[in-house]
Amino acid sequence: MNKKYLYTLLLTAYFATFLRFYFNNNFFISIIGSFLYGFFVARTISKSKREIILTGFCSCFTSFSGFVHFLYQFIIQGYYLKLFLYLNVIVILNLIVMYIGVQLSRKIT
Amino acid sequence: MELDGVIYILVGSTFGLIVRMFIKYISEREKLFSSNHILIVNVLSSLFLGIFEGLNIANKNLILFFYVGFLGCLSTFSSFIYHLFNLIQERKYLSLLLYYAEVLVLSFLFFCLGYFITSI
Repeated sequence: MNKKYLYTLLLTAYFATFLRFYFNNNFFISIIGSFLYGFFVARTISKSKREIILTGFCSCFTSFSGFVHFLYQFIIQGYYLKLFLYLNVIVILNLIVMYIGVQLSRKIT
Repeated sequence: MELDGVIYILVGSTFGLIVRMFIKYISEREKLFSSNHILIVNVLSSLFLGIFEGLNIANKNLILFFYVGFLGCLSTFSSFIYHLFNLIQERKYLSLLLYYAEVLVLSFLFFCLGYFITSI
């Protein structure tokens, strides 16, 4: 692990964090993040680039705690059915979007 | 947003990234957590979020540091989805269901644990 790699990783993480802060909409963010993850996972790129894009950008861009926070709003209000529904719908939607990303990436190459 | 807020976010995200990379490195080296560090990271971040919600912090800078910076960079949703996606591709539907339930139940339990720790 060299210095340049570490700096690039940190810079992409900062960029992703500010982008997340700017959008401030967890649902939207998770969809875009899953699409990008699927898109880049199917590409053949070098290992360090892959690490920077996947663990640096995509992982910092999407956040699980934001997802839990989003669901927590339903728990306070007492909408348990809505909570269960949203939880499954978000995960399934993200899986579909990721599948689309992988397929698109394979089409382009 | 002022310069203060920017610095808080930067410091928080640096910490989050370092902790996540550290957990990833340890789990790959020791083979302790049976191949996925994402579960550990997400459950840990749920615990922290529970504590954070329980304390009911109103300080804006602390929210930027902890919620936006630290927890945002520590936890990852897309890797979780990718793990599920991988399991679908390998047609391991039972382990898919188990993993899905495991993550959600564990993060819910740890969220509650964190929430109730603060009210003691």
